[in-house]
Amino acid sequence: MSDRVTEFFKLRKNLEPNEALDPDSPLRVDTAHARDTLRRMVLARVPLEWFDSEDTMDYLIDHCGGHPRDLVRLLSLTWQKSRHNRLERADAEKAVASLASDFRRLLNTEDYALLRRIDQGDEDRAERPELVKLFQILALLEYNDHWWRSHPIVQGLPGYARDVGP
Amino acid sequence: MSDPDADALPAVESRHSGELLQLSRLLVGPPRFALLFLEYGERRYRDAIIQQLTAMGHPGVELPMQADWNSSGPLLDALAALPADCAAVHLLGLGEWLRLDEGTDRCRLLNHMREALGQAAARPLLLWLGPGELKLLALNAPDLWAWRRSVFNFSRPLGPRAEPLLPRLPFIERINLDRDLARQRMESIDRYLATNPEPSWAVASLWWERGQLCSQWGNRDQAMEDLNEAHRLFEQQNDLLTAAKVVAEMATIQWLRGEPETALKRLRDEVLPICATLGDRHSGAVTNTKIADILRDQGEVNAARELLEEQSSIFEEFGDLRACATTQINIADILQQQGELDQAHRLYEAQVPILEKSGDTLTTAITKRAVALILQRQGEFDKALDIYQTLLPLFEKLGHVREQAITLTRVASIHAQRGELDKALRIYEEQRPICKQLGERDFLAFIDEQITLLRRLQ
Repeated sequence: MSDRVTEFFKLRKNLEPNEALDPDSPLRVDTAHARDTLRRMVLARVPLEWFDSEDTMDYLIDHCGGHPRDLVRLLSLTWQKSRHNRLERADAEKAVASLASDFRRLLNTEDYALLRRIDQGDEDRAERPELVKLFQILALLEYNDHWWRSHPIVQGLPGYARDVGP
Repeated sequence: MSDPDADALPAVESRHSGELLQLSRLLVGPPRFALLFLEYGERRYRDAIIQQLTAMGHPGVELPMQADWNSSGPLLDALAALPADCAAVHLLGLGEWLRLDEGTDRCRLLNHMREALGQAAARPLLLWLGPGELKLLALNAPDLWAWRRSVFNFSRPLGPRAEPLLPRLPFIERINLDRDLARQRMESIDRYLATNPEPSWAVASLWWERGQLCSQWGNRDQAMEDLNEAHRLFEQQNDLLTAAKVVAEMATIQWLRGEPETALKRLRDEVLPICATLGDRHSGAVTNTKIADILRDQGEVNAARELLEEQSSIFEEFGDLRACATTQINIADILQQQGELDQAHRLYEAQVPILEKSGDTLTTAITKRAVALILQRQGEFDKALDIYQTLLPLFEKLGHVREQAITLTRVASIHAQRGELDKALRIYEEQRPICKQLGERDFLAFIDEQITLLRRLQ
């Protein structure tokens, strides 16, 4: 593992779920470049005027885990839920809830425990069948430098939050 | 439909209206491939949903998976052979087909043929899956799952948890509750809501009922607050049809409070489009009846009458005799407004037995009061007064403050017409604060006008 990744895991060790996304947290991951790329990706499909605010677009970006397909899915779900031909924050929240529901259908208690351990940096990173499943359904995402992190929407699920025990 | 006995299919529940509206957005426009997963609990309810989609203008072809389809060829051939005008494909029996080899091989087959499926289908492909089948497919065909455009849940809650702790009272039962029982009912609702129950459809229903009771008792501010909460919760539960019905009730209150334009806008923009997209003609007719009431009030009597006649035939088509009678009463109101008293009288009288038979005590009483008003206008004061006096204890018993106030002001006007100015003035003065609480500007202006006039004459 590179020094940067080691440092990253050290920093993340005591992170609360979603703290990396909290704009006020000093531990917020610097995602400015990635965010800019994802914004351009969104705006190539949807004009900014269709959003009720830029925050709504950022909200979707924050919840896609940096995964382009999930971003497009969230965008599509937001459009499906909208009734005023505008992409509004309330509809974006429903879209996130909908994707959360997809994950909830597939994850079990053991999955949540494993994801939590990975997020805390406590898990042996050996390839195991359970991990394959989590990667395949995108509950676990692998970033550059092989950094693993559960999908931000999974981190908001009650099952994930409940499983804080050893 | 896959079932020949389509009439016996269960009714589609309003709690699935949000899912249907969102699904319909994916089915409009020129057909193109979209992979949609739909969960269901009961086969007949699945068929009812497919029937509903057809009624909404989204007919699809049902394609049952065959047990001997062991390779990608037969399914792709079947898709390619579909008629060109087929707008969507319902893939049925997928779960049983997957289970024939314990799932995994056939899941892998679907996984590998993802691109080919997209090309062969070239239109929305609706994959219907029963309990547990969606998880089986998603975990064993992750590439196919990754292509999903949306997942819809058309399962119905089963077992004891489906029953709310305090079920909402049916319409007729609710409007016929006498005041004391209604107070007890309100206390039960409040006790239940005070336990901060988890947001649910049942809880939304109770806020709705609470709002209706408050409205009935003349506490319109509280009614609006409760109806807003009910609306928020129904939206949260994705029951957009019931949420729209709650909007219609809020719009009625807004109209009575002197905001007809706001009310019309809400009915036309927030309620009617949902009824139309869902193909719910009955709810659309109920909404149009409310619109007609407002139009009549604004003096657009011809437009109102035309609209009411259209709705009456829709109710007739549905065999809803009570709604039909109510619409006829609205038409009679227009006739009365136009001075066609005899015709209006006959129309009112004809509705009374229908309403009595339906058990709708309140509308029956309101109709009898309308007859009394005609008698009053024809100078038959004693007969009119007799009817009003008979109805007053009923309105009081039912706790319908507005109806009581309207009836009492009619009694007052008879006193005034007979020269009994003190009696008339006292009634108007007593009703003024009640009317103020109701927030009905026109009604209040009328009472104030009568009070000023009577004081001047005294």
